[in-house]
Amino acid sequence: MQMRREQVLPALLGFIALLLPTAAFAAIAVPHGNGPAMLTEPTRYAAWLTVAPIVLPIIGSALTLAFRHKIAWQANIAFGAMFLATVSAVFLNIVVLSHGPLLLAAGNWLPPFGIIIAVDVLGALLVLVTCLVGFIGLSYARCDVDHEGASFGFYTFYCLLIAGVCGSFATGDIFNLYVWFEVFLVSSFGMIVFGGERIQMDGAVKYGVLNLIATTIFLIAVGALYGFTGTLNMADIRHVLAETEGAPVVTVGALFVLAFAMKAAAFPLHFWLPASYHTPRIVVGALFAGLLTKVGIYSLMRVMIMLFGDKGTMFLPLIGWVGVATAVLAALGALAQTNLRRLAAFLVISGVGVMMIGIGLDTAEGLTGAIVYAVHSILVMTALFLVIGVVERLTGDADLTIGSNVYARYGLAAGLFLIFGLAVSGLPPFSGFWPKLMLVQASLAGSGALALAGAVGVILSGLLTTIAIGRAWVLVFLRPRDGSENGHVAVGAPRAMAAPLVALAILVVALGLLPTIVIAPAQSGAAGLLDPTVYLQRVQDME
Amino acid sequence: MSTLIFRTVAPYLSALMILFSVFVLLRGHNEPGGGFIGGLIAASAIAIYGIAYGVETVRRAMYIHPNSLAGFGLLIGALSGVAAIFAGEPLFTGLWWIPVVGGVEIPLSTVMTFDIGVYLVVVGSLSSIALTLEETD
Amino acid sequence: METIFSIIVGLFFAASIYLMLSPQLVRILLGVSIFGNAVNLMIFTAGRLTEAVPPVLSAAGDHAPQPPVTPTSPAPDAIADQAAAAGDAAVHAAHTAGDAAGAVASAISQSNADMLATANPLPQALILTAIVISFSIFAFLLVLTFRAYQSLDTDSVDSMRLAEPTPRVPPLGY
Repeated sequence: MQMRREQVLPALLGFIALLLPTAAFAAIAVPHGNGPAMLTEPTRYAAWLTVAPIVLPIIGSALTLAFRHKIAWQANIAFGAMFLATVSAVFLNIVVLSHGPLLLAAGNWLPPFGIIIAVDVLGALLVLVTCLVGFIGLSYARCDVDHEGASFGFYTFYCLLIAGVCGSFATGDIFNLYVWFEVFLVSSFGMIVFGGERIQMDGAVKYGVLNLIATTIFLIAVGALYGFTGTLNMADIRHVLAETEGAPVVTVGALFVLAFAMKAAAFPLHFWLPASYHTPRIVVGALFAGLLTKVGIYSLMRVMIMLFGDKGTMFLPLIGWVGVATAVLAALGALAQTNLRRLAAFLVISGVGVMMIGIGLDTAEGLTGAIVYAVHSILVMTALFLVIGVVERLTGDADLTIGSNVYARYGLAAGLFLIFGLAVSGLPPFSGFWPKLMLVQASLAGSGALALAGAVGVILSGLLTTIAIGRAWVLVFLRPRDGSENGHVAVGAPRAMAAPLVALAILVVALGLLPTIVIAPAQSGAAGLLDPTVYLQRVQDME
Repeated sequence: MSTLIFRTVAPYLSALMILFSVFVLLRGHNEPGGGFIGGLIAASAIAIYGIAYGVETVRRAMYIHPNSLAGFGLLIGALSGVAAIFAGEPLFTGLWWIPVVGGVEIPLSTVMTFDIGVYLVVVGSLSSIALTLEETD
Repeated sequence: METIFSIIVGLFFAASIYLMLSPQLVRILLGVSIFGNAVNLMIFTAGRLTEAVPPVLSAAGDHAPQPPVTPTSPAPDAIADQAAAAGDAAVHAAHTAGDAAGAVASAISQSNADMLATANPLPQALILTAIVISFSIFAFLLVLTFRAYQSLDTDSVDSMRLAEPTPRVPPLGY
């Protein structure tokens, strides 16, 4: 295999970007959680790290839009922006893990009246994984998106989507969270119609309308919350809600659960996801599958646990039961699919259910498991979609009704699919095992019907997922082609496409072998959600 | 739509509207106005010119593609937010520079450059939409 | 006043949900549009309703309702002050604004009379943001619906099954 000159730099950058987080986690996994007393004041400029993963992709998207006629620059600009964002996310994690939550008051308008960007351990962890996946997905997109695609602004929307997701993880203001929701919603609209095929129109209409309704419900909740608390700052809301009783709290809480469950595609509200995620370009689908539902889960954690505090516990059983239903029913749905992309879409939903079980358990262990699962899910769902895209490029179809004999012809792609599939199922050497183990342990430690159902749900969904993956493996990857064709042409996959997939596979295996590099920050993040004293203190100090 | 009267008036009207949009943009600092509304006025000026003379003429007259204009606007907006780092202040803190030209103080600030960015984004995106719609007619 | 507005908001929501349940895409979009407007009106109502009152507290602490005043440009010496304190200007402005906002907040919590003295500026800012966002997304959805109608030849969601076809049965054995 001959390495082309322009591939060297991205490969090198990719290597560095993969090394950095590993090094960062290795350096910080040990000395954390020493309590507020050990916290020292970070420097003034460190606060800029909170906005760097948001601002850099925005600048990247502005540059790609401004120089839209320079097709050759597009991918490089996006690549540079995402690389810098990933590096700054690494440093953000280092600072947050050693110094505690990092705050920045935009425009020096102090809380509770101005908008603050507040990154705690959970936010920093998710920002890092988002940037990493964005960076890896971009190196896949370089091979997948042609010049015509670049001139339609693919990279502009790509960067904006990452900025929106990072912004959601980083903000400390509930209305600002809504704005970031809309930022990544608008860019996801731009990306889902990218290519303009008939099937995409169908998927995009359903995706667009239902997601708009979900964010509008979120806005209703924010408006009602503002109506009786008079504040939008998250820390301030927690103070006010702790002293508020009665119907408004229940109403607003129910609205938040409804909105975020719809964004996360939880069981009765999931119908938009399998109708749309398989229609766009595979990079787009992969990014959506990895990131967008997790923003819903993150918001659910942030709002129902940190903001609502004690008042949120009344909703947690609901979230848990919905999670059980989602995990099991979506895995059954995956079993019923014949299209690999749609199968993967149902697996995304099943993962959402598993995370919701973790939230519903109402224990630090359950929450930690949910956070670790979120990190695992972001990586592995992106990877699963990307590898399905490669299979489609190689054979023309990825459908269970058409045998493709991928294993004999393209061993690497088949092997990668198996790795990611088994990681989704939660089998041992891969990243999915540990969060599922933690969730089952946390469930069994509890008492009551929900605890039992949670454990059964996690294990059953894992079993069903394994069967679905095994079935897909046998029917698509092992079975020889039986002559029936869908009319799609195999376009072939350039060698460079393997690099991002192998990188993701290394991450998935690494997280399976060294789970503490994520579990340690996740524990700290869960503790920060359940008892945000330091966070609140930091915001108080700022006022 | 392209009657003689309209075609005669359109260039003057467009020029006047763009001038007025800049006035509204700069006025926005202390009085009603600003980048958003100024951008709307400028975009309607471009749309009027396009109705009178056709989309091709407008695209030639604009030199820069509307989407690029929006991109530069976003860039200016983002950079004027980032500029605060050089003063050691948080993101989007306004920085002021008030030179005296011939005895008159001219307050310049990153707030204004941000507003200019907003102006360009609105002009770019809305005129892009307007021109696309006019093209399909 | 709040009662009337609440009823109107309820009517808006009812109408929008009725429209969104229809299978025609255009009706759904109209429903979504009314839904957005209902939310804006709701935020506006939630931020307390006041009549002809500026969202500014007078310096003397006089809480009597005042007619809106046209803001005037700052005096030259005010600008000179700003020039003198170029570095601290923003911080200072932030503090004073924070105090003013604190005064607004405490005014809201104190009593009804105080509440009437100032209009709440925040809901208007929120609504403005929400309007701009929902306007742009609505424009996008309109174009998308039009394109979908062109390429799928239908505006009924019941017959839009391209992305969700009836599944074929894969081989039951290997």
